[in-house]
Amino acid sequence: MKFPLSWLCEFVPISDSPERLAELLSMAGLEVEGIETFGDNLKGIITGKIEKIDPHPNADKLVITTIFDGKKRHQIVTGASNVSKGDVVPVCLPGSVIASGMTLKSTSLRGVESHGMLCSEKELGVSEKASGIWILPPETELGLDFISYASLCDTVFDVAILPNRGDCQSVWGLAREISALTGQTLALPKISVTESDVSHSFSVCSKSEHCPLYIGRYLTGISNMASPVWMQRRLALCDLRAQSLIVDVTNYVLLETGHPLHAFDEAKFKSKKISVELSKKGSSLTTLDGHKRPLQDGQLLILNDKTPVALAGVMGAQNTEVSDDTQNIFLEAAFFSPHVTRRSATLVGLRTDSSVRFEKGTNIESTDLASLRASELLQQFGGATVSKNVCVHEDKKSAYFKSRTLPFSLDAINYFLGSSYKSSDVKPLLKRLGFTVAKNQVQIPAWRRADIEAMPCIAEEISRLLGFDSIPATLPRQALIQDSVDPLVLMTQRTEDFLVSNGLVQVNTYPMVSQASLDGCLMAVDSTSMGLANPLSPELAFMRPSLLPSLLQICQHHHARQQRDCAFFEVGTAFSPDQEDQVCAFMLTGNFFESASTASQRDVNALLNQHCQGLFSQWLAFAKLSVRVDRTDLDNWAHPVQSQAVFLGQKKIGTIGLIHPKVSAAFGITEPVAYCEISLRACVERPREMPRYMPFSSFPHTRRDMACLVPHELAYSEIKAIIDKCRHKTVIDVGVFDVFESESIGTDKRSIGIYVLYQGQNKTLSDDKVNKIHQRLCDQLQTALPLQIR
Amino acid sequence: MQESLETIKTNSVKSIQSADSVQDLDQVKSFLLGKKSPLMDVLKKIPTLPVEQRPEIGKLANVVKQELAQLIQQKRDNLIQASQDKALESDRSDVSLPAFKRFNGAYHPLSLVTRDLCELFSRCGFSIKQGPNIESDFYNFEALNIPEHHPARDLHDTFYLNNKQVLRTHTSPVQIREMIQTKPPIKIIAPGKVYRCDADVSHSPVFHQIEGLYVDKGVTFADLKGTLEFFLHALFGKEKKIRFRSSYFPFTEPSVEVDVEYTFKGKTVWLEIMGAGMVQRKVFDHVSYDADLYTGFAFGLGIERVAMILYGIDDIRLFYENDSRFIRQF
Repeated sequence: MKFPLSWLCEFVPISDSPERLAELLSMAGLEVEGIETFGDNLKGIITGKIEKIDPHPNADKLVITTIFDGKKRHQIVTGASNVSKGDVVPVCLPGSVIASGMTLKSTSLRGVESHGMLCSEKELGVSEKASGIWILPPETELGLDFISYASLCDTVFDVAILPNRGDCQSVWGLAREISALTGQTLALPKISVTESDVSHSFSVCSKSEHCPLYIGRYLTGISNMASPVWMQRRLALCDLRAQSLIVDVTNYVLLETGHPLHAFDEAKFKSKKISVELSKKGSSLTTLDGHKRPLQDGQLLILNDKTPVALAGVMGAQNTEVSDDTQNIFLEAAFFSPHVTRRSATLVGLRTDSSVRFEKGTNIESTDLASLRASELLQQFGGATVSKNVCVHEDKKSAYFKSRTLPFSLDAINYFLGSSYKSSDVKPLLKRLGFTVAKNQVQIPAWRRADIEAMPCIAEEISRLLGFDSIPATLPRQALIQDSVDPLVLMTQRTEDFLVSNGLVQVNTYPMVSQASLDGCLMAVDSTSMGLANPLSPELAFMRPSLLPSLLQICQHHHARQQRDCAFFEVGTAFSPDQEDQVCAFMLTGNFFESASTASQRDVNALLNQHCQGLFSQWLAFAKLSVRVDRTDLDNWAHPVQSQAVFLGQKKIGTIGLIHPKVSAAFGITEPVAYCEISLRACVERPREMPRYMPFSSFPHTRRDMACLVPHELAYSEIKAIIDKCRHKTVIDVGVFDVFESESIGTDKRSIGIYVLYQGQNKTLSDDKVNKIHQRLCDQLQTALPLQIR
Repeated sequence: MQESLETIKTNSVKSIQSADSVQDLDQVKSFLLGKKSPLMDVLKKIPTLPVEQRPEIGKLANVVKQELAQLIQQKRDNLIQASQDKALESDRSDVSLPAFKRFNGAYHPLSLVTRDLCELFSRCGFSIKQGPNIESDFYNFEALNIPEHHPARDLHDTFYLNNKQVLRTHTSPVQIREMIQTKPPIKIIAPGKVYRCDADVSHSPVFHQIEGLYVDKGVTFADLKGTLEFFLHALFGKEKKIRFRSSYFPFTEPSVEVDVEYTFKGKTVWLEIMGAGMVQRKVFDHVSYDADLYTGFAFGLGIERVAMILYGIDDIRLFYENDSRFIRQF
């Protein structure tokens, strides 16, 4: 929100530099986001009247003007074509300086002397409008110091108003803050309006608690010409466009007092009955900007008889808009409740200078003051007759009128802040802010009622104005034992450590994905619970059910940049309608080892899926987890042959293996992609068992091998399952030492060489004993499975 | 007997010296010193000798046996040494070739910074808590004193799911969840992802915050200052100036923004680092804490912002592009 310094200075003396003032305000919660200076170069611009225009003897495009400044006449040659005899214009005489910093000198233009310049708005730093001289209202006094008259030289603060500081959305409000900060006295203007006994039959009535106060003034005989230049200038500095006196005055008063006003053209009213009511869904009104606005239930409307003439607090309707020839107006000043105004503005998608003020709360007690201030200005500059018969609807029982008094104890405040403020520090400060401090009580000013509700609010007022440096920095002295570490946090950190030390690069991706990437992964999600109602783009439209689409996108990014050796992982959230799961996923493509320079190294590098599985099983050991993997319940995106599902107990907690080539192809990756995704949450949900020490044997073990000839469709896991089932107590290890296929054993078979280690706990096992146990195992295997042991 | 021992010795020494490998030597050893060796034959015959000759011959035979064993050991050492020398001499390895190793792993910079921040707060006794990304309006807004149609909602550009749930706009809902579950004292930090539908190029729709909450009897604003000054000094350096600037958050009062003075390329500026304040009484009401008995402070900061300052990163989008050439730098 913009605040011109000259305007603030009307109500509070300011001696600080703009930079210092900005710092003071910012530290106190009124952050100055920008300081703009206008016209600081300007010097000596005055107003003058064009008395005479003569043709230039030597140039068709130039004319010779005679300018009268009230005392003297000046001959000035100009090329402007928009001036006529009798116009009052800004004049720059020799020795004066224009906005660009150029000092004007007397000169001769095509043989005719010229002692000055007629100025355009651009030359005075007011706008970019360079075509044509700035024509001022004809009644403008001549010889005026135009720089000060038109507020040409000003500094504008752009202040971010916090949501609780509705009271600072006005020049008066900010001036009050400055007064509290600098100790200077605030002087709000005395308003003087001459009221006349103009009778009328207007009546107002609010039928909603959301409008507890409605004041209507009847003003007649206004000459609705252009507003004074200085007023236009101030509106412009605050980003408002000058329109006509009536509209400009309502805007000016809005900026000055923080009270939005609305002027209805009385001639356009159908009746004299004004009421405030809540809308019904299905109705509509056309606002001043020409848009037809359909309405919902419960929006506050101003009605003339039955016709909506304004969306209360947001924008007036076109049907009663003030025009250039408007003479009589019905001037509305009211209080509309913040949340109803905000809702209404949101529903029609409008944020106006009016709605932003109502939604942060206006000061109900000074509503009439704003109406009077506007009347005063309209009387002063438009000759308005102000009727003393004011229409008022006032619901004094409304909570908005209720004054607020809070208990006041400086001890409580000091205890809460850890400060040691004295009464002499605090009381003058609160007084300047409008608080009335009695012995144990403080009365809250009307403009802060919505914000100041309890002791901490007063503590905030004191500390922000005295500066937080006035409070010491201490460390808490309370005894407290830190809570135990969340097992999921610990598991996450350990998993990150494990994967990073094993050569993987951690990524951090958006949890939202596109429909296309879900389709590419052959995944479907419930769009009600997982779909965004207001996505920024289709790329980020659904909460991901798995990290797979995210990691595939990362691999795609790298493959497209000649980086085909990918080893990425992420610990992130996978979403489903009933829960959020913290999962760890890693993805490998290309080479797993760096610098494979020999044939054997390259062979090792090519074993992508084995590396993935190896990492996974090492991680299991690291995390002290024992899981079951099998090929049931595979996801659509998993490779139909080279992947497995991971189970903890009966619960599926992940997948390990290659992803389906169809899926990687959807992401433009043509080579195999190995992937593992495990739910860390599931891993930490099961109770942690305390390990028990088991004595280990000091006697040598004996190894027996068996070469099993197995049909292709028989998986090793099935053989292993039987071995585990029949496991003799002396078996300490079982593993595979060789797998081969050849035509000699038949193309439908392969040979798996399995070793078994036997070891006695208390003695060395005899060969005979081992042979007997091993033979039994071989027999059991051959009975249970279609395999041959050679 | 004596001559026989001398002959055995002479022959044995010859065969030991002619052995040219350890295996060869082992065979020689078993031939010379084994049960059926000539020396053993002599030793076996000693009981048949006249009593007076026995000590002398016996002694001599043992001396020969010891000498031969020593010779064999010496020969073994020499042979091993020679074979090692030969192996080393023929070793053609080039250890200067690049190692056959896994690629270097790397933590995402946001993980590194999050860990550092958690560690610092952990030193002050805060424990880490997590909460869901998808929240109800109650946890994200209502309980934090941001009712519907409150202007403070302007500060949060919120993503909604089709079922009206929200993607949390800050990590503050974790505060509420913890307070509902636990009675005071409570001292927690909550790092995590947050979501704002902000289309600006310098903003990311997903970013990370870390939230802190401390509630107990007699917690003061001065304690908040002390804790945050410790934290910021530990993070950015003891010499850095810190200032507390008044602000507004619906869930704290007083509310402050905390700035750190920082020098970039010779230019000193105040960097806005975190928001903080004393917990609003209305928040305590929502979680049934006695606001007359307990006070507390809360704070929050953006992790990306800290990472960008610490590492000199100038574009927030780099964090989510996840190019390994970026991630490996930290």
